[in-house]
Amino acid sequence: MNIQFKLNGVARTFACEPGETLMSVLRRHGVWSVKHGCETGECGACSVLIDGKLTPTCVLLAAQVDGRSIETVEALDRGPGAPLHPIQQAFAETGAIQCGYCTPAMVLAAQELLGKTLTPSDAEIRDALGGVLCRCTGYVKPVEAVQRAAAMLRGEAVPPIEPPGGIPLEGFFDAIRRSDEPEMPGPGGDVLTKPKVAFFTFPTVDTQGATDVVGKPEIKVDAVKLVKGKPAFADDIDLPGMLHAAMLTSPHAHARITRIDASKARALPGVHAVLTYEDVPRVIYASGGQTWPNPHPWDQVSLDSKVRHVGDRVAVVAAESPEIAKEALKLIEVDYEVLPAVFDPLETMQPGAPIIHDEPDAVGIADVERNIAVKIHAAVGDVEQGLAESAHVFERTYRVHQVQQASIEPHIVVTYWDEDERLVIRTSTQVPFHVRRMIAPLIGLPVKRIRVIKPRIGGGFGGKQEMLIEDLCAHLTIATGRPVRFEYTREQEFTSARSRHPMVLTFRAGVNRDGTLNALDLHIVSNTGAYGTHGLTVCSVAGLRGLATYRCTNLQFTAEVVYTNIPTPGAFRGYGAPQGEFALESLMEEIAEALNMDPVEFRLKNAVRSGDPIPITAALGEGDSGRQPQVVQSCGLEQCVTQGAAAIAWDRKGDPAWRVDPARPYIRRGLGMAVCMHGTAIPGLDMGAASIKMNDDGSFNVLVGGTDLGTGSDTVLAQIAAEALGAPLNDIIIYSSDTDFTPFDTGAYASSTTYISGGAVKKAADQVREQIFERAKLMLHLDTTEGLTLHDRRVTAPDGRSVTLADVALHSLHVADHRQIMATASHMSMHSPPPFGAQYAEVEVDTQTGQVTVTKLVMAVDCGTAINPRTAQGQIEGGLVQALGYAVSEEMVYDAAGRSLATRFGDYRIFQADEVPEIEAILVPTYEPSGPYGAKAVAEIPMDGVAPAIANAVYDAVGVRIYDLPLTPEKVWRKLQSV
Amino acid sequence: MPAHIHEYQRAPTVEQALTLLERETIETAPLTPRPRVPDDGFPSAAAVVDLQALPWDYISREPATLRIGGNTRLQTLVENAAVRNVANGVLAEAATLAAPRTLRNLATLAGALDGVADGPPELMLALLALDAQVTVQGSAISVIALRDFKPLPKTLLMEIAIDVGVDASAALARVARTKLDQAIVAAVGAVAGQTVRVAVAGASELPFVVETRVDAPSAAVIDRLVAAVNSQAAPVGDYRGSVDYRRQMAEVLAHRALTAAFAKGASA
Repeated sequence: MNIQFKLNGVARTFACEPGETLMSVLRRHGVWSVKHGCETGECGACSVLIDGKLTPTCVLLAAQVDGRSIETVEALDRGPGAPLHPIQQAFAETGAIQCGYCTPAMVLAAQELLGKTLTPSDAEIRDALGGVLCRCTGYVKPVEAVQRAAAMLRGEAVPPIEPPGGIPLEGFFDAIRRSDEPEMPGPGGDVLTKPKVAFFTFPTVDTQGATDVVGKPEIKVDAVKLVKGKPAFADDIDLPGMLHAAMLTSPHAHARITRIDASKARALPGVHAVLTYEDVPRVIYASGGQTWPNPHPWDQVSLDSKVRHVGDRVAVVAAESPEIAKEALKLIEVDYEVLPAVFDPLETMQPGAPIIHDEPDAVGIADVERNIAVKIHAAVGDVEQGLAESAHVFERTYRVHQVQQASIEPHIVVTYWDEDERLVIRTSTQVPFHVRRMIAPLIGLPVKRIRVIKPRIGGGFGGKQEMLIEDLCAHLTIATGRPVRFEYTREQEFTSARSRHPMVLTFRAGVNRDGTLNALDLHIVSNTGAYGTHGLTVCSVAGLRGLATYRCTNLQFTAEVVYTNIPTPGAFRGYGAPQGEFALESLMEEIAEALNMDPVEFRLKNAVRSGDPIPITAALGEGDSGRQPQVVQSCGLEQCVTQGAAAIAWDRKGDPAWRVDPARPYIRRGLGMAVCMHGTAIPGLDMGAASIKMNDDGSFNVLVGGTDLGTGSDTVLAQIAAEALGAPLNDIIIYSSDTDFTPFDTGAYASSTTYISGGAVKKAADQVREQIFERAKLMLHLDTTEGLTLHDRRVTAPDGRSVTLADVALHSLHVADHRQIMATASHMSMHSPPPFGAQYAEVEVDTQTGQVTVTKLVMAVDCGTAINPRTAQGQIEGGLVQALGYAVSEEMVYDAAGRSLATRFGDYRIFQADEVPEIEAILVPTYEPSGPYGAKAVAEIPMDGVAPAIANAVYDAVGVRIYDLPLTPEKVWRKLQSV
Repeated sequence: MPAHIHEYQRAPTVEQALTLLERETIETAPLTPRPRVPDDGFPSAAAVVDLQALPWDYISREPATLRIGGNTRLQTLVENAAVRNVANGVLAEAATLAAPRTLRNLATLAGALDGVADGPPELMLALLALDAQVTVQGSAISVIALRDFKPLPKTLLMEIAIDVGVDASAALARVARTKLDQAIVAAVGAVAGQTVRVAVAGASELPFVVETRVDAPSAAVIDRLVAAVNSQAAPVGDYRGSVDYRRQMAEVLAHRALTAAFAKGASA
């Protein structure tokens, strides 16, 4: 049928099927700003303005808008290089764009609102943004962006976004540990236009008068294309002859396929390939995107004759349309021998439990009969003796649950043969180099015949640290010779992707009379579901984080990582730390109370400081890797605690009047806190590389293998290069990551990119800088490069003469002693410097219903030097809201047969803009000597301490302690009934 | 993309809409956008009838009656002054809770009531508590109490009417995992003249309403209604709330909503 509507002001006619959605029609016509995130209208990424009202297009038939007027973000584009629309400008300036996948819809939401009022309230802004889910920002900066856009549209001059920045003074924090410690300066100025975004300022190093780029809130290098909705993501491509893939999944939690017949599906017109386990080679692998050799167990094959969870792979189809592919799935006949299933991590180890991995060719399973994928043991000192000698011994068991990364962009991959008959994999992945290496044996191609391209990623959070669907798509391209596109549905994201490991954690703690920790013993049973990917390493990190924060000489960690028939967990931001920290920080609170000590005082008494060793790191790494003794070289924990306490008004704990609300007598208020430390990269293992070359005009191409999954790492890496090269950020053209064109990088995980990839960029830039000095020496007829400075695109000699970078480039490329100024460097570190943080929560507990409402979250973070304070704050704010969902609302739940009960947004509840609490992020700068310009990690630590801070706040409010997450209303209510 | 939909019709009149829906040659369903879109996104029928051209997108304030057309978008309910003035704004509050802005721009009043079995209940509760009347177009037009309304095939919800001749006071109470999450249990209490009602969702398969006369001090009236809620509750448990919890919450929230409604009435 033909329909007509105005698209961005132009009347157009579109041919469509009666059942075709508006989203499909728009994307089919190249309106790439309209993004697919779900099929139920709940994520809002596909929303457009229909007659001025923001409306999701995945749940609208195109025919429904016949005669209407549609506006997409493309309408705001004034052309290449032209000034952005004020709303887009505000989004770019405020840092409201992280992965950028939801940004076009957010911009349109702002447009709808500001079309009605230019003086919107905070509540109106949040309501306007409420239908567009963002998993990255925590909505703090999008709200600021709308406020700023409103001011711009009112014709007001908006203030520049210029926080105090720069590089903190090296060693400053070591100095404050002495008894004659100096007074700390107070909270610094505001980074943005909002008073709640604060810095804690310190003296900065005067390297070149001041840093030009590092420490500055530069606009993200990818902001313009993202805010314009350009085709930057994996799915934003249309190849001639492209086929569409669909996957048949298991309806059973545990079953053997006794017969599979795809003949009817293959006979369906439009179907080009159907693949089952009978059609692909059986190659054992582990799907986690990790360094070679991948940690054991290796217990997966591309397609198997046995299924181990509801949602497990059964077959894949490639067809000429998504609809034909789905029809074909219905025609695949499968007979199953249904096997007993087990879901509980303790039951699965008992005699008589069904054996989940009985295949003979799996490699490295610790105990097949007991469904134990991995066993871990690590010890320092003598924990039993330590416990025996302690004045007080505490033992508590905690249960944490399974949650999903829920990036708004689903897993998406496009595969095709290029003109050299090499397989190209265009995929939304955090680990392009691992994907290339890991997929090669599965599809029978050498690495050299595979190219992996990572476009922009619409959020990953660890879920894309996995070779999840690339192998199946590649198999289909190999089978058909055609380009194939394979994208998960939102339901498949919940049933067939990865998630966070649920765990049962038991702590034993021995404490001396004076409150000194004497022994810590942690035992974990980690549920790795159907497959063991990331099982070893996530559990190891849970142990690391549980045993590293506090000084203690007797430490022990034991764990069993067990198989069950739930969908497979994997990497998820925090990577075991949120589990370990929930148990640890809940326990610390209880110990302090039992000892009648202030919980903050108790923590600070025992917490590690600069100069302290972290003993457990000598015995426990990330699995078999990363076991390197660590010493803390920078630590701002005390300042984090102090600043966070001030921001949350911690002294209200002592105010009984504050705790109650006369208008709502059933409400009790409380405050809670937790401290946390994380790691920065895997020591001795994570490696990144960078290449930098200089162009004729003095600009630089920076090629990095590091993967920006929305965190802003491209921007941070470009800032590091710019700083070293004396150039403004817009002279840096950064490109990541393409296995053909960029050097190797392990990928975006383990909070490593700024530290490791940034270290590589710094090294390469320093080499280029030396080459520039050599050329300047030649041009200025100097005897030495000593005394040369590089600043503001210019090399200056001690005598005041200078040459510009453009002069240097032209001379080197075209005039004399011709050579390309360029360098490549790689970087690895034996250090894993911990960032530190203090997290605070303010809650209201409804004593009659058990509902916990978090009204404020504060986090102060020591991440060393914040290379870009704006993106660093964005990481904290977004992480806090993700962690809030972990604490109170998000949960993967199943029925008795193992079928998922929450397969859509809404049922799986992530926070929307109009219900998040007040968020305050504080950066406490320190200088990490092993990091580029003093930097260490910030990306994952915000996940770690929110749940225990909230649980502790609930205890403060109503006196009940919750030992298992999430803190749902019924759970809290039941506990209240029991006291 | 819902490939099973082979025919789309936009009905210009009610008669044509009903004619299309009554066809026996092809299964046909109306498009009534809901705040909680079904898992499959669209009706399972092979043909769909779009009702947007029907003249049912209106809000009409008469001296004693507020009339709202079935095609009225939920966001319109949120913004409309006449709606906001009804019963302490409980209708607008309920519409706000139905969905985020994007889906409120799409979903209609009729869709919200059609989809109440697994959708957000507050709007239905508010209307039940205010004793709304519903006009249904089938083979004939019928006007029935909303409490007796059940969506039927080949019928269309034309209008909701609320008696505003007597100032009502009302209040909403709910429990959910988050502030705007779909309620586990919710209740709306309303006091209109000498009649008091409380509507409850999450404590039985479908929302229900109980009412009584204000013939005693408010505390006694509330206790009586809460007891009635308890006796009528037949909860179905799920992962968000067990049977026992839902039953308990029905009492708590009914009591809370009624107490607040009486208090608002008293302060007015």
